[in-house]
Amino acid sequence: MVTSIMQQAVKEILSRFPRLHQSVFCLASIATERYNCIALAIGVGSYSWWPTSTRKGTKNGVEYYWPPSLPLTDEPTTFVRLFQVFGYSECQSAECVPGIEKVALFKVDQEIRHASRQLPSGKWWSKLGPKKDIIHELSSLDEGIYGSECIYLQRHQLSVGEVNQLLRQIMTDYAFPEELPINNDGLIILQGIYPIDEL
Amino acid sequence: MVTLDDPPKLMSAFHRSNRRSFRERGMQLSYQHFSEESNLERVLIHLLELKPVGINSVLSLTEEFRRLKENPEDRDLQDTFMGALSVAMDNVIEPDIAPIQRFPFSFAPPEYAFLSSRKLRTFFPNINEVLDFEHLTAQFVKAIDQIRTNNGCTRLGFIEKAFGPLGAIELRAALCNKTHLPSTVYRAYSWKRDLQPISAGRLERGDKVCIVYDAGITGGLIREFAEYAKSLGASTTGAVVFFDFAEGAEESLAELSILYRPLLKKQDVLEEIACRYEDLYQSEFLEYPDPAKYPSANQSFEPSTLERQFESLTKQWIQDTSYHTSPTLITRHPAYQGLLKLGKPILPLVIRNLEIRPGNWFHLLADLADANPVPHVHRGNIFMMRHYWLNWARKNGYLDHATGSQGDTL
Repeated sequence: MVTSIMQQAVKEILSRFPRLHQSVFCLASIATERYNCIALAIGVGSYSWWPTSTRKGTKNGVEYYWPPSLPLTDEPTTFVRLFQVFGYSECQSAECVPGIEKVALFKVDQEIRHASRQLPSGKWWSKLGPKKDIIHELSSLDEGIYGSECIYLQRHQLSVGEVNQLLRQIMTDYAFPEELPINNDGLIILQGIYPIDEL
Repeated sequence: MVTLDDPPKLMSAFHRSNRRSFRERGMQLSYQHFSEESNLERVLIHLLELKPVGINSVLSLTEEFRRLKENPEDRDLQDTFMGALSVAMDNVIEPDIAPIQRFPFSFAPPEYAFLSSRKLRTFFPNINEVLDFEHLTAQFVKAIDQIRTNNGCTRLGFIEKAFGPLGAIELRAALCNKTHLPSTVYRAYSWKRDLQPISAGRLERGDKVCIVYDAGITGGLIREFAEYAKSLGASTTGAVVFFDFAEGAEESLAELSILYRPLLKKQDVLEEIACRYEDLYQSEFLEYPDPAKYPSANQSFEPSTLERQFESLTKQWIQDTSYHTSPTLITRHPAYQGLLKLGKPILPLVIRNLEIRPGNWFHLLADLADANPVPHVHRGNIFMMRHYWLNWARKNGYLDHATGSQGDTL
């Protein structure tokens, strides 16, 4: 049962990201629609984030969460603005630097398709739409359905306390719809996001 | 009809019945009393309609209950809620969770009940096996013996949680008995901690302590205990935990030369967890629902042609866009445009798909219905979005109340 489900999932992923054949990757979560790649990159796992109100033909506003004061387009600059809110700034490479957290954005033409987050080992962690998370080499997603990585962002690695302080500030400033759950230590619980050990 | 306007009656109904007898009595419950924005509504919807719920719903309920308890004016609501919670406990869909009721769950916030912390339960699928006291005790004793052999140990240390002696501390008597070691209980969160950091046992200069705890996450509490012991001239030689989340406890404790022995590590059970969740939340895994299982309830249009078209276009659309979030990309797909051309007659089919597979349907629904019933604050929360759309479908006659979904799965 496990094998067949896993095999099917791997087969599907490989069919969409051919370069994954050339490297090692692993499945890192169940398939869930509770959060998407942006939520994973940010670390807030109970929502799906995407700027969508300018979707052509729609009259009915956004379908996903997006901070009200940020632009609502699929352009790279929009996503950069979001990550800037979370303390990231653009950088030149995806190289792993101790003490630095990085995010890579993927695009096709001028539309962002995906965000991936670097783990301390240098491997990358991606949520594949509503499907599973995978841990992979960054370049192994290139030439797949998300296009290629185009923008790298970085911030200094934050302590749990600093992340919490930042999230609290953002919740206030950007009208996050719900209070995030708090644990016994008064820290925000980042729901739904639990990476497995890296390969 | 029992409504929430009548909490005592409702509570009584809850207490004297399980789901089956409720149905046999033909009782119906109403949750109209609650406002649309209420968190309470979200969790009660399932329970008042008496459908099976997942353990996460139960945990949500206990969280909500804790919040309610902070408001003494809502006494009636608290009572109602407690009744709902007891029904929820009877109706959890995971059969092997039931034995947890042997432990002091009893409406305490879940993180304080032994092995029932939200995080631990998320990761640990075989909880039933481990909730066997003898088996669990034997495992702990084995690990403690290893630490005693390697680093020495003259005393066991337990950590008392916020609301009292819950958690691995439940094993204290059994472990002291089996290991012939005395024990000390350290207060981690209690309001009396500053006055009385030790709630039971003594800690003496020269003691070599082996700490016993349930979950190893960052190792923060174990370190705290170790530092307190050090301040009294005792040393901490080891720590045994039930489950290690691989989030830094091992490294953190190694810095203090504490030998760390988890009985289970996350990576040991990951595949099983994946499998379990595949089963548990299988609606999230359906690539495409089998149309034969979900025939259209609305026969006013030409079913064979329309359904066939719908199936064909939907299958293509999902196949090509199922790895994407971007609505721009999802909605400009030719198959999506084809679905739009089929117009409002496919709304019942879309609703039925939404019932079993939340996700991409929201764009299609909004475009077909020319509406979006989801309040802004819930957009992005797939489960709430689904709930609002199903409500919309009921109100607009697209979903048969008798045969349709009774709500989302939270």
